[in-house]
Amino acid sequence: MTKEMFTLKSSDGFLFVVDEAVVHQSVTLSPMVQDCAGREYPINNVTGKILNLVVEYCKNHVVVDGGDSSSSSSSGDALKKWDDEFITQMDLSTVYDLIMAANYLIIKGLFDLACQRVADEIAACKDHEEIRATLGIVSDYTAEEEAEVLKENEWAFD
Amino acid sequence: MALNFSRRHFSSHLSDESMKIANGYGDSASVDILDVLPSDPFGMDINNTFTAITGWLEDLEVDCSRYGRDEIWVGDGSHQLFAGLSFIWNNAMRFQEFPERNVYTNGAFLSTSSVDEVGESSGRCTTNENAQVHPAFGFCLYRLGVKDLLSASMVCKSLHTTVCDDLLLWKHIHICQPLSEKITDEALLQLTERAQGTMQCLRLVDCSRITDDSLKQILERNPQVVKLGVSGCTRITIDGVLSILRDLNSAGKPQVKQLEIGGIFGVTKDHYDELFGLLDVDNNVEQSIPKPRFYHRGDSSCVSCDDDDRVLDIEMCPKCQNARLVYDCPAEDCKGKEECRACSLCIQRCFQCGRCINDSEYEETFCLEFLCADCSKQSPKLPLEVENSI
Repeated sequence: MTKEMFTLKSSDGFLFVVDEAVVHQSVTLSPMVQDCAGREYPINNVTGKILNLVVEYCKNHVVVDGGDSSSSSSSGDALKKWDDEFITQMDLSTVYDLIMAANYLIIKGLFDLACQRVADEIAACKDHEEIRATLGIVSDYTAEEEAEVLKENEWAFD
Repeated sequence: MALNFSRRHFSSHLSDESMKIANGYGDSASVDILDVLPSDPFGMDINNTFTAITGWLEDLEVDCSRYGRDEIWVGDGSHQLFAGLSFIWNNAMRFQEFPERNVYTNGAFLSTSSVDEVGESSGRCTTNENAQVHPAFGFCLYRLGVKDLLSASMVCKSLHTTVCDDLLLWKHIHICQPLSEKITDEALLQLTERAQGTMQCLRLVDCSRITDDSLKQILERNPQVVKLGVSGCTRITIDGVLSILRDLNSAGKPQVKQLEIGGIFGVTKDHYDELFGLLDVDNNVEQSIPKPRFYHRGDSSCVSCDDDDRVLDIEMCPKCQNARLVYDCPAEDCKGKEECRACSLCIQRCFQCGRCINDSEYEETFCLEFLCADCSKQSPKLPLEVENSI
């Protein structure tokens, strides 16, 4: 049985040819399986760089999800390890773009993985100043406003 | 640091309590705890005095080293999917297809029907004047524990607005270490107000400062709560909990589907029976066999509320017939055996793995806990809480 291939086109014109199993991982793209075989499907919100990562994630998850239903825990562990390496190697700005793409394409696993990466970065920060440094945010509080907010939350920090 | 602080706090809390209970026994700081404790401070069965004290120490014990990341419960993946799905099915939200400016959506996926709509999302979104905060960050807030949310709110004004105004962030509130002993009635009320009446889960673990009155006030303002946990909250009483449930029920049909009160003292059979009457137990649906519960120091904090679908965490102990948390035994010889199901006062258990300590070799720690031979061998030099530092 020949696999049907689909062409995804990123906002900056890159083309990705993927099979049905990859497309099905996106709730947004699943319906196009009936309509768009052989045609290019434009994904206007996602750049080539990010779409490449999305496709890589989906391809990797097809291999395991397509296996037998009683998949061994070792393959589950291997996939988890792959996921960890996949998401950890990226810088935060790429992770943010991946979150937006996974949200638009509705790919739950990728969305959760990327959001959790950011959450882990925040949780590792010991205070709000470290969060600012990690996220590259400059405070727009005045000294009085900051003192007020610190006072509001002082019960939690000491 | 926090560990040392909590250890200091623990002993000062203890000395305050023992001062009150013991009616001025003198300088508690220099007196052995066991000498100061009265025989039956919490109306427990006098026959179990010594083991009751052990149980009390267990319940009040703090293990900060385990709790660093447990707050993440407040926004775990299934909660977010639930939030996402509920918005898709209810079509309650319309989302901007892709943010032109930095607008937070509420963590739900775009509804496929809304892909073509370029509409404003509902009032929950915050227009972000601060272009440094990426809109994707808004989705990540749902995965942060309460302490991290509060830290995030201090980063910049737009995050502060989001953290304070987004109802979804406060629908599930889980307070565990390191906030447990710090959170006051006032602070908890302030946090729960942010849900604006939509709070569904409130789980307090070892929150020793929270009182019956404030819990009552919180539940009055958030009558949609379906899961309530007050494990180890020593100032919450069983009568307080019953009063809250009665009030919720008199307002309408029973709402609370799950209740955690392990560690609340003085729960009698009558209380236990009344609790079942007040909880929303669907008698037509066969209750699934709950997962086995294994004893572990600090167990109530580590279990996510999504893992356990029991209506009530406590049950009548098969051995002593008291209403307490009942544990199964993970030991190979005991698996599935009814004889090894009992509360922690009836069957001593290893605090690491939960297996029963019978005639087998064991080690008793300074905190009057037991370690089985296997666990003792694996960590020959147990890192005591006071030695761990953050």
